[in-house]
Amino acid sequence: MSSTLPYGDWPPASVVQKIDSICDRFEAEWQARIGPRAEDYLAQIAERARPELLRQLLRVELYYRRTEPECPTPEEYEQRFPQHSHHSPSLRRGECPWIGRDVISIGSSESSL
Amino acid sequence: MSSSGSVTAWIGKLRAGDRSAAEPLLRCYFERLVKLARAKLRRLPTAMADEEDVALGALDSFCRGAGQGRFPHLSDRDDLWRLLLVITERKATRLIRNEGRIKRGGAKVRHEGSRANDSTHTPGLDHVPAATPTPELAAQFAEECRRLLQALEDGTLRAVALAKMDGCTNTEIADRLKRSVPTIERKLHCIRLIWEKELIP
Repeated sequence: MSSTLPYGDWPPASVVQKIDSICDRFEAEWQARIGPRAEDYLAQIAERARPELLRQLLRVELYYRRTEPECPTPEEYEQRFPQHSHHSPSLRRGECPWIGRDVISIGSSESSL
Repeated sequence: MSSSGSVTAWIGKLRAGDRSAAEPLLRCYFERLVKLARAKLRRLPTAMADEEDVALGALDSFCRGAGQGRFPHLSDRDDLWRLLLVITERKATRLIRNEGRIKRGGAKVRHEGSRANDSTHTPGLDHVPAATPTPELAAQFAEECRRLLQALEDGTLRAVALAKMDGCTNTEIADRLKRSVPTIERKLHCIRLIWEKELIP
């Protein structure tokens, strides 16, 4: 998936930090139970950084939605973000392992410094 | 195949004992690891060969380790880069330590030569490797940690870095800071980017 990003493997550090601060605000709204929409945050960053911002926003969103009775489905995300589906071939096929994977792997992924 | 897909395939090959994957890995990571080693060794009057030796040694250690079934949790290019960073750092640190010993030992050998007949002198104690870091190395390490933490600027990033250094899992850090696990993973990525910039000016 990363190879489909307009930046290549990863956006530059300055963009990653901007994405981080936007995601922080998004998470604060989830914690305040405001129920923010990832869609509303995408305009806060340059267009070519949006696929990565969206990916990070959805990881946070899926984390907070993991206890909801209705499991988020790939179709829901395809409908919400049709313009971004081309960034993920799996999303286009409707399989969405990157969404499902996030749900499954939350809490199990470890990274070191 | 994407770059991340290639790396995953190379890791798979190495695990299966196929050393042909070492060559593309070398092409992909060697230059970056040399830069990292150079940054780490910059306080030593070392030759270019040292930096390249460290980078090659790190890649070799990884390839051998993968072939022996170590690193079972390694899955993609991001994991691999972090692992190579750690191996390279450790090899560079070991080289610094060894250079320090050789320097001290060399001076001692000359000194011992002049005291060869001194029966009260116990020869070669300086050649015994220290079980703990020297005060100089410990101070250098502490200073390096302080510099890296300062470079983070943001308090949350510092808290995540310190917790990770303490050996906490991402879930434990998330619980402690009352944040989501994806947020902790994102913060760790930010920290790595900032520190890479610090280590490789």
